Amino acid sequence: MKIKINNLYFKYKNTDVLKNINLEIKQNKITAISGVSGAGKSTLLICLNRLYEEFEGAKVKGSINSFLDNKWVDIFDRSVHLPWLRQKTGLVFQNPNPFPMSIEKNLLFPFRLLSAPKIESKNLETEIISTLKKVHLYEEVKKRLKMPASSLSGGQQQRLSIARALIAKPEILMLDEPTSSLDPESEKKIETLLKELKNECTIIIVSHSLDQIKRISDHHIKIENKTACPIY
Amino acid sequence: MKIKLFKLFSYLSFFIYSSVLVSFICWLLIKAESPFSKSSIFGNADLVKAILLKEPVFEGLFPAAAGTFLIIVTSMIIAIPAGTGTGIFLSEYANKKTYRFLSVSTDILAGLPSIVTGLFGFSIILLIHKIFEGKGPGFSIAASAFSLSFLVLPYIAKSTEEAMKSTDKELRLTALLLGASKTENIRLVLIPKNLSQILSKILLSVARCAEDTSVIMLTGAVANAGIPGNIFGKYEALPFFIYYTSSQYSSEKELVMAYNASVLLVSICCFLFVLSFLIRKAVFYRQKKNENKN
Amino acid sequence: MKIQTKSDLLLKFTIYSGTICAFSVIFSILILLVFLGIPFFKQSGFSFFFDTWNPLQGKYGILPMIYTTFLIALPSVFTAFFLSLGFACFAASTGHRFLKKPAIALIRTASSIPTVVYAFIGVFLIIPFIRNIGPSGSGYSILSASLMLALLISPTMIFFFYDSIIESETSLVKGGLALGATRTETLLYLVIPNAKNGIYAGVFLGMGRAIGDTMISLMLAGNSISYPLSPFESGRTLTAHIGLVMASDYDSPEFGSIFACGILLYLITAVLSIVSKIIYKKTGA
Repeated sequence: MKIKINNLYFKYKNTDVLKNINLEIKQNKITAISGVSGAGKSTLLICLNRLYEEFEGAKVKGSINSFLDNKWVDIFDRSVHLPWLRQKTGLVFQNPNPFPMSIEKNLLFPFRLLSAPKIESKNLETEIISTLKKVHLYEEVKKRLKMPASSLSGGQQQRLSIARALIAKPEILMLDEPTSSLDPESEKKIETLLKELKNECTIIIVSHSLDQIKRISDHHIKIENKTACPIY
Repeated sequence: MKIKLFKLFSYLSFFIYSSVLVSFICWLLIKAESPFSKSSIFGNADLVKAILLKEPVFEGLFPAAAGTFLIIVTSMIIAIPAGTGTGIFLSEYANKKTYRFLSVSTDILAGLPSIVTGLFGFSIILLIHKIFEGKGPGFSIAASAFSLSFLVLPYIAKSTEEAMKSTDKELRLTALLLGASKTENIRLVLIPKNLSQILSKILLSVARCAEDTSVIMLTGAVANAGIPGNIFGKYEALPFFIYYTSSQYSSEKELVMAYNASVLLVSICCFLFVLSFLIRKAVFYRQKKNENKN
Repeated sequence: MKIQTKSDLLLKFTIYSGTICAFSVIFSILILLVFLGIPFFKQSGFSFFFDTWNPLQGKYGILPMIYTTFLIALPSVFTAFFLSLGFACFAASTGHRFLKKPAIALIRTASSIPTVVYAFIGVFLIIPFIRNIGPSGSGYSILSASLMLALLISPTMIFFFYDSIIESETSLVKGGLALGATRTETLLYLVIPNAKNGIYAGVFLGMGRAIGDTMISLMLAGNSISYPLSPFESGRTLTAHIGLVMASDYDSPEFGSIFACGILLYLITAVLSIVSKIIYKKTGA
């Protein structure tokens, strides 16, 4: 067990988005979330790392507990250090969004933040190399680490975004339709690397392709009528 | 019939406007005698000595050009941090109520005639004179730069705000996902991302500082001052020189200098506009390229 | 647990102090003008705003300047409106395709020309021209100022019109063309009515610029304090009055009148900015 969601309600500007959600998400598995667009799939993800706090007019009720750093953490507890929570619960968006800096600096970004907890690392260079290898990007970019990240192709940028989330050592990795803006070949690459990554962290993926869900997921949850129904 | 008349009307306004404007520019270019030559700018003074301020320039535009340069630099030192700061506040920190209030206020400041901004600077000098009984800084580069910076501040603020708001929604949240604080997000991601766009608008406001006459004539520009030793002295400036000469010229030679000054000033402003335009084009082109990738 | 670096603190400091500084200035301009004007207003009440100018009788009202300001600004906005509308339609739609791009480039150049250079050209080209065609006088007249001012504010208005025409055209032209209308017909019957609010906003913006401009009226209008009746007579605007009187004795009532001018200009342009903003917002909605 990695995450327990109890009686979660989510309101945005006085309209209900999510209602009475009760879920359990298993450790080191890939859990897929599906649903029609606007059903609240992404909303569920932003509850897990408290990103909803960045939107004016969002309100939550209920509780979410995640098993992070070998203890259960009440996510809505104010005393939880937000940067720590967000690094432990990584999120990758649909469109690749590299920062306006070099590939190397993109990856080192979490290390530059002083408000966030220090990430354990012996050697930054080996850290970069091993993370890039995890997302199968190292061979493609090893000669141009100093180049701006925007010079990469769409699929490479998306893998870089995943690497950037991974370098902060997340225990939960959430992906919001990570392949819907990519070509089939890049999609396949990302699916393969997700399967490899599940030994390292718990993965939650939002997707509306049922084929993709069948290919990669261990569990499937559908969001319907503002609430969640586990399928398998 | 009505349609044809309308088409005729639009062609007519195009031809009237462009022929008038083109003939004005041509007239100015013909009248000016080599505005970029050494004698036009430095007169009879020695080039190196003049630039090092060892020798005063009497029959050239150098003191006026240097004065214009000095007020641009000084006013930008105030206007850039204050303007971008206000812009960032408007886009990142202000809540709905403060935003509405502040945004209307910037609009008012943007629409204010420059002579009123000049009068504000003038009033402050007057106030300082009253308080310190005639001592303290008066009409000077500092006073002009102070007032000019408020002339361009709303432009810089509005364009910074627009640039910041144009940031991709997901990119805006990405740094926060990695554990960045709000200020880190602004400092490391949002500002670098929009820097060139903001810079292009700052260049436009530099052009406004260079061309403005009404503010500087109320706050310290004079006809004959040479180059002041520090920013608390009176100074000469290109636009003021043009204004002054047009009514007070005593010889054909002085008038030619004013033509030269006009061409010089127009070239400076055009150069800044073109530079700003090219930067914006480059940003636009880069965005397009990225969109095609995804 | 909040750790802030020096650069973060510096950034926050810049943002907050910049904002405070900007907004305190907006109000302190008005407050300072009123404060410095008070000694003069005390002597003569509010007659500054309603009285005529007659120093021999001790009257220092700014009524002639208000009159002249509008007498110069209104015709120039009127002229510039038609010129700009035609030009914007040309550049956005009706013009020949080889001429559209040069037209926009020309407007960009025109908007980069400093006001003082416009006025300078006016002194040596418009003034002699008006002197020749006019019945009498030196040529320094409200007509000269009005013409040059129309030329000055046109680029601002053209950009505004052009943008709103292009914006509504992209959504409307296809529908119009599908109904069998020609491009000009669509422009005249669909696009322009739809871009109405943008056009109004542009006019108000141009109006603000025309009223607030100093150099052209100062250098071309002749600056005599009077109520000009014919376009060939000279007059003095509010802005030019500020520019001219500042050199006089700091205690004279004449000097006090420039604060009245400043306050009035502040209020007029503030109203115009707000109105133009409200109209423009309606277009967006």
